[in-house]
Amino acid sequence: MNSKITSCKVRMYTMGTGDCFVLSFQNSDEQTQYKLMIDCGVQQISGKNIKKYIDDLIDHVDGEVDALLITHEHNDHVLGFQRAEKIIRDKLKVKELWLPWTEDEGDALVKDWKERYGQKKKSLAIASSMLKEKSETPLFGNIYRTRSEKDESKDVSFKTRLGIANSLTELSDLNTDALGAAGEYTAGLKGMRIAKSLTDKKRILQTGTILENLNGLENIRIYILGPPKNWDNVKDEHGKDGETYKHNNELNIVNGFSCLPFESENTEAPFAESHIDAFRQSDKMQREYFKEENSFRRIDFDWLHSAANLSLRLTRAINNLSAVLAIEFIESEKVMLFPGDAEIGSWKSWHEIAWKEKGEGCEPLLTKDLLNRTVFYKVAHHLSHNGTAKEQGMDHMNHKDLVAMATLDYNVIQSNWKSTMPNRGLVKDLLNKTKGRLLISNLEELTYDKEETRTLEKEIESRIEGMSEKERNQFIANLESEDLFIQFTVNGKK
Amino acid sequence: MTISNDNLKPSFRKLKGYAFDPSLSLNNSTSIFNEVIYKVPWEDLSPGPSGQYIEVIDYDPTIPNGEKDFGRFYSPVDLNNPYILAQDGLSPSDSNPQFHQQMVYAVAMKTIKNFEKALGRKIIWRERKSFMVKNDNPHEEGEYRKASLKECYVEKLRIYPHALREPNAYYSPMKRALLFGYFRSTPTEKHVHMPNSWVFTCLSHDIIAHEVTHAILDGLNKYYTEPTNPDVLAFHEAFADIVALFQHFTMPEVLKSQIAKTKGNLENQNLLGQLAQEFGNAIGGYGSLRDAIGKVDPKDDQWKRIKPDPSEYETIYEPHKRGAILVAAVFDAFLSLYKHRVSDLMRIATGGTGVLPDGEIHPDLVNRLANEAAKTARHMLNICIRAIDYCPPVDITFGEYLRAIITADCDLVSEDSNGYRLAFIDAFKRRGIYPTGIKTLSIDSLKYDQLEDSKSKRRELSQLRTLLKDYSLRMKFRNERDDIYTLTKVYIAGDGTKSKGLHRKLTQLLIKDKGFGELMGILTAEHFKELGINQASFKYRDNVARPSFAVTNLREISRVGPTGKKVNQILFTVIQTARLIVDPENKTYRAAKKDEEGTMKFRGGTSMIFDLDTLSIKYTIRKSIFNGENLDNDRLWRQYNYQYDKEMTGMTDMEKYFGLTRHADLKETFALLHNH
Repeated sequence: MNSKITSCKVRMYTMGTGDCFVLSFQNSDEQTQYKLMIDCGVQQISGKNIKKYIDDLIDHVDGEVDALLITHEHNDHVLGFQRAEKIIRDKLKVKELWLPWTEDEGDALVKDWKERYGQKKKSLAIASSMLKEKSETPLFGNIYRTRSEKDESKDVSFKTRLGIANSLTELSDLNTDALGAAGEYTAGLKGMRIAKSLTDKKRILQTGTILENLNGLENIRIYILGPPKNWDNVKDEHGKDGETYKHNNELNIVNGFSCLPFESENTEAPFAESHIDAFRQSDKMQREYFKEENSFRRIDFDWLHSAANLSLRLTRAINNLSAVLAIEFIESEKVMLFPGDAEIGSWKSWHEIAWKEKGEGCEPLLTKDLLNRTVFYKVAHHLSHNGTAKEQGMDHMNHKDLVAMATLDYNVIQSNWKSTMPNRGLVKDLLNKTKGRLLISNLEELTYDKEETRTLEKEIESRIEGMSEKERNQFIANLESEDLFIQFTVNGKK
Repeated sequence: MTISNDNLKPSFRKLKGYAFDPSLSLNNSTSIFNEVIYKVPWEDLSPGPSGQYIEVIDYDPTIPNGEKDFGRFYSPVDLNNPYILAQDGLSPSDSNPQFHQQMVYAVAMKTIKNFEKALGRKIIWRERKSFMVKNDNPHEEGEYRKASLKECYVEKLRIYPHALREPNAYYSPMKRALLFGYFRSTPTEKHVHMPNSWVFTCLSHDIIAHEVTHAILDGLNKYYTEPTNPDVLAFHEAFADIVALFQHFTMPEVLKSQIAKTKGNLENQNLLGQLAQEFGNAIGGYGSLRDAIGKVDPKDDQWKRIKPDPSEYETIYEPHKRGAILVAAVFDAFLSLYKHRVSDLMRIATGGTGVLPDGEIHPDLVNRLANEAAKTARHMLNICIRAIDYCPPVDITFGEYLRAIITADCDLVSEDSNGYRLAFIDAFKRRGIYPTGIKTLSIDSLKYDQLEDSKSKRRELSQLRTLLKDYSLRMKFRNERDDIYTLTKVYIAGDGTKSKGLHRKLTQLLIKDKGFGELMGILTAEHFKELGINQASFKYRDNVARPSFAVTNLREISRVGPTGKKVNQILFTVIQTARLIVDPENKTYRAAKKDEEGTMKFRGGTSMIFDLDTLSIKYTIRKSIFNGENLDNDRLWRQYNYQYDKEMTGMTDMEKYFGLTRHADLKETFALLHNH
């Protein structure tokens, strides 16, 4: 029987900014031997709109995937399970669920950390909803308006304030579900909980290990590069002998900076009750504070802006907890890299992994060798400025066949992500290294140059025209672009 | 016989406080000098404390109060309580909010007084445009009503010691207030700081001094909050750090301990050059938040002196980090001066070998060295503060600040026998900070030129001379700040009747005399409307169109230099603003319509220094809006590229994700840490 895997069809669903991939591993007769689904999310989408994508996906995989990998718990990677819960439960069979080691709930450390982490998420959810609610009150206007109401459109300062409240809500939505009707917080994203309940068979991916000889994956080896393994740093708030925080600045931030008072039942007052003054008209200072003419000096809501920092930290930390897979065709040594949304901190840590030696007398394998052999790269974090490391990443990816795929769509994106995605420097590097073989969910509105005069679409077209005819024909033959997805077949032969 | 109460009034109020912050009281070697007594000028205070300059309002908005509401007040301290008075204020304590209030008050007042001494005038907070005015219409309800924007006086800076729940503190230019945060620590080193303990930023001398300096500088020049080039906000940060650093040297116990510890060599690791110890540790850093001399290398935990690296000025843009370059330069100048001044003492102490014997140095030597260090630091602080008056009023750069330092010092001290100026120049040079537009880096070329007599003593200026002289006479014995503010406003704008005001006078001079426009750095071209500059609204008989400009910062200055030389001057600035819509593709621009979206403000201005002794304009320090008959295109495009930078060089994620662009005019730019 011909079971050796020699190619892989990578299908990227184009629901918007968010990941949903299906990898079909095929033998030389183009028969699919193994189906791996990676994530199913998008920043926002309605149940109605997502249906056609999920229908196509289920059809494509024939109602069954061998494995489903959830890279990390962000809505742009799991929201699909929530929005299309019913169809997925009814019609998609997941044989095995793959999760990064940071989702191993049997691990006491993970459990402990998740709890504290949940507190941060709760803080964020509460603070952002509070700020949003307050931003619609007259008092908020009295404090932050620099012009009278009728001039609101000209009040740049006030508009920026409202913008912050909105951005915060968006970032909060990425990390947490909305508060319940009674304003209570439920831990974990619903999409994640649903995904986890799709099968009882779970495989925890341990960073630094290699998956080999999986049933149906002959000639394939999967290296687990992330999330970073320095769990002690993540877990231990206090550090050992001043050692903590030395290695991985990106992860420790989750623990630091407890800033908002919603984290426990006891709200943690810093001073004894005896120091507190009741509200009273007779107190001169209190009168000063509440005077209408002094509204601009009030500080009732400024502290809620702390949540802005928290939201960025949480987002980055969770991105860095992404499972990172390097999938290798053993014979040809070609690699496909799926890093989830890993940001720079995670990229750095990959190089610290000591891979087991291939055999007697062989040079030990280095992570940079894997990068060097990468022929397919799923761009991390939607082409953001710190989604792809330069020195620890891009600079090592020099394969002549490199193709890159990225999920970015300006029609479905958080408003303020547009300022960092796509990163021009990264796009330029990618275009140079792939000779134009950069596939993006939706090119609309994207521009290439700083002056925003040349569209990215144009630039990609001209790069592709610049390829040799053979290369171009090969690329086009392997590419399939439809309404609902973009698909590229990676050739795993020598 | 009874002595009247007024004669008994003390000159000072003594208040206990931390020299640095609570963390140093937990360490045996530092606790002995960490509790100091701040001597602040006596003033009548009401509970808060609330005095002439500041009001501390201890409202904590982060604590739930009932079902859905948040916020509570902590009882305000009454520093006039006899028991408190009798023991020089409350004793340092991190669990008593009243001590926190006392601490912010003491450090803020000390900083304010240092400024007033150096500047030779009273501090006035930045005035504020408000659309709320007192309601004099009996038919309308409410004490206040909404009207068109009007400038008003801000009497007191407001201080909130417990305003935020995060490791941060900032000056809010919008609120004219300081907001201090508190948080739970996550220290790197457990033995230095207790994990998970409360840290209050309002208990750190350095953080308070830093934030108050932001507020003072904003009052001196409101345009330094507009990031028109990478140096502007960095300058704000650097200046605030410089003031906090040099204030360390005003505390004798601290100074002596550090001199003894370093055996007189302040280039070694010591507390004087470091800022915010506790804060730096508590957020998981190594040692202090910032250090002007060295830093701990995380690789081997060793403190190392930082070598000046000229490439940093070209590559670092985040305001705090960029500001650190300027701080290091100034501190470097200080260190070389100090070294120079104690070289004789060191020779005596080492018998000429330059090698000190092992062990501690003699307490007498400590005292002598400390004296020299204190004196040098005092001069440095004064020089750095005074230089502000000699800076162009908009778009400041580090190089211009160097020129201002040199000019200000030449103005006040005729002979630089200790080599202060060269020390500055050398330290700036080593960090690649060069002013543009000068040919050599000598004192002579750095110093702004004095105006020639033929220009400054012209007959046409006689009316201006009379006006300014009159202003100085009226100001002579005025000590109340609101009085100074109100009267100054009258002298700028006129009182609507017979007195015409400086603005009107200058306008008349501009019409009569084109050369005067050039002198003042005001564009008088006929086509200014195309350039986006408004036309003055008032009409003259001649019907000649003229551009609008603003007169700000009119102040009288009287200073005494270290050699007893007196300087009596009047300072004012003129500002001109072009409101433009810029088309980057075609490199063109046009005048913006009123409140048009996307308007870029391009400003020019001049600091005018008028000498009262000679009754002539002495300096015009210009950063004009124009270059010949047109706008200064080079600067305009530099500003545009910086403010609308698509690559967002040097911007933090916070700014990127939350839309805090450089042209957004948010006016909230002074977080202690931008870069979390």
